[in-house]
Amino acid sequence: MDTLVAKADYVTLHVPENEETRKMINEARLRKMKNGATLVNCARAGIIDEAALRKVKAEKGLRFLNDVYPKDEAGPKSVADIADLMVPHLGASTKEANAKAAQRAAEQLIEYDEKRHHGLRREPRHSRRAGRGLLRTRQHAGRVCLGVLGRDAKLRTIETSFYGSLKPYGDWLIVPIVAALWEEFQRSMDPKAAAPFLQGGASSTQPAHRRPQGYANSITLDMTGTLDAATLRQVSVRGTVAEKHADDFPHQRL
Amino acid sequence: MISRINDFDKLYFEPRGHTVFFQYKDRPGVVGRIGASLAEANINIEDIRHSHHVPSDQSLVL
Repeated sequence: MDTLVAKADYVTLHVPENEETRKMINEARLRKMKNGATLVNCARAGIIDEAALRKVKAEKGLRFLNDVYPKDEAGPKSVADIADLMVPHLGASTKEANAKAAQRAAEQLIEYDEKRHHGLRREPRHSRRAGRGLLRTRQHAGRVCLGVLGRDAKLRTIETSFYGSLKPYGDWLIVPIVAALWEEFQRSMDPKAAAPFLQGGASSTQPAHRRPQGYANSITLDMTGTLDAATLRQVSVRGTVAEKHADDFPHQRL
Repeated sequence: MISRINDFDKLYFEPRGHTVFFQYKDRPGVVGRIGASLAEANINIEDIRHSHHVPSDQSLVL
């Protein structure tokens, strides 16, 4: 640790605060730092001996970039006189960090679902099948809708309706639908991030109610789009979450 | 699975691979012509669905 501190141009702190780490950056270590080096604290305020930093900073020409305070609240900050940059504890709140965090969470959920080796309670098999069926249905509805509308159509409106046990999750279910329509939209992004993809003034709404027909857990996707200045096309697609194979249904197969 | 497209219901299909949609005023021979045209292009039909909307007398084949 002392060797690293002595060689580093930038020392960034990312450790929890506990008995071992409290005042880990003390006067002795600060004096070992290179002249003109930068110290970044994204961990906890207590990791640095603030009095020691105040004492050593000027003579070593250190830069101090700070993101953490004894309490996250409004008011004067004791490090204000020695910090070259202060951020209100949002150093990790970047677009990239949030996207990666969401992606990793999604990857862990997928791993949990696929491998089932985390010692967590196993969900009933039919629930896992239903979850996969829901995922497929959302993607299929979006792709079929856009396919019927036409790839060159400029979307004007998108209406989503969710029935049965899906209804409370309407806002979130727009995510895989948008992901199915635009490849550049990551499924790990949140519903608010889906809004910019509804281009050309398109809006996404969820009608207050529409009578479900047939199946309890279903999705209806309605789109309107313009093909050219004179042509407006509408399409409505219903997807049904079903665990059974299509052949089990009384369809009109030829 | 997809159960309805516009007014055409009871379709019950899961899209995969390439899917084509034909909507037309119902009359004899259309499905046969679709099949023949695809066969001439050496395209195999893996699955086919049909739905008829009575009020408009329109049919959908996919």
